[in-house]
Amino acid sequence: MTLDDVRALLRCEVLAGGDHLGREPTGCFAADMMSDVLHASSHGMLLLTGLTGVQSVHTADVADLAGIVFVLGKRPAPDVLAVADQRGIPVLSTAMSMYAACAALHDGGMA
Amino acid sequence: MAAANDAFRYEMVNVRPGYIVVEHERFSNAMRSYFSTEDTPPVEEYREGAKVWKYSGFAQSFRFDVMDRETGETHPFADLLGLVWWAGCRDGSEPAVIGDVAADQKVQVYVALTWEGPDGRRAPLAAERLKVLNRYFNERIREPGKKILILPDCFDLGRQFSYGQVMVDLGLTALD
Amino acid sequence: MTIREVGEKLGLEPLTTVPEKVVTGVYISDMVSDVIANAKAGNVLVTIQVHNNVIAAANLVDVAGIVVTRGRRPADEMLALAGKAGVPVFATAMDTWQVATRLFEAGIR
Repeated sequence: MTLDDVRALLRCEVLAGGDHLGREPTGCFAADMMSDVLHASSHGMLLLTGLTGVQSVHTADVADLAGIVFVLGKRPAPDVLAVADQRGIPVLSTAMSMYAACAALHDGGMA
Repeated sequence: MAAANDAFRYEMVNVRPGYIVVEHERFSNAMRSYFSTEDTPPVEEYREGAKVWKYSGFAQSFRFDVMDRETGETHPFADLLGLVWWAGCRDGSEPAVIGDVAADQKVQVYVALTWEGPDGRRAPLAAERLKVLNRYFNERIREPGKKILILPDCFDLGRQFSYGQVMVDLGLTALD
Repeated sequence: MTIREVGEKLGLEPLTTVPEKVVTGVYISDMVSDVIANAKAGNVLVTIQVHNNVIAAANLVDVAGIVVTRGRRPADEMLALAGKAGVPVFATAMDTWQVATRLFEAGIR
């Protein structure tokens, strides 16, 4: 499943890093606590989160994640999106809740 | 999801995520806090007359209003800093004692903390708006017999609370 | 489905007594503010948070139970508060995503 498939399944708006939607995430990690993401996620995963601060982008960068989906229609501030664009991190936003997003992705074939 | 909400008279609207920024004054150690929608609070000290304020931490929180579907009226709650649950209060303190007695009757007591005004005083939430807040939470409860009772801060918790007691988010962005 | 059945079906470890409460859905969040604004009464709350305020928020919105993921162990103090709130708490080694997929497969929408 590519990030573009994720975009379609979750009916996402693409907020940054739109050139990298061909990436295929190796799995999903759902969390708002960034220390948890840093400790337990692995390279290439897709981060589902409700935390819109710049730390979410820094964490995705450091942990080398495939991209970020913000849930509940949350949108980071423009300066956060600029950082994501600069680091080549795709940022998407869905109106779905975290659970609805997980369910839709799993139903769509994400293991 | 919207259909489920339609069953309720009150709805939480205009939810604005943001941050509670806490500052302390270098000489007197006085504390104060304010609500900000920016996630990058000022880290530099700054001068205000003879006082020097220094950033000492932040917590994630949110502001909201409550809409009354029956009257169409929107009640703002911007002066609400947060809620403190009785069981998180110091043993033997008034809210803890009252809350313990109330819990025996399936009534869960919370205290509504408000922001300090420019004069450093905290005006408690007016009774009419507290009633709205209580109705909002209680009409959603499913557990038979359970009630939520949000009280005004008659206990002066505003003078001595810690942010760890208020229902705000701490440590989400800490990376260790 | 009740919270007890959910616990059994997913092999969750109960850390408190587990009453019979009907599950109305699932809410995933590590943020107390999100729980207060968006979780619904009867939801299973899936989280990595073990702060006491999670119990305070779960009690306020009347969730059916809390599942703490990725092997995190709540302190005894948090479990004592959960007892005062009558909110059951479970632990699991699964991460939040895995718990979500299992709840979905169990038919909870």
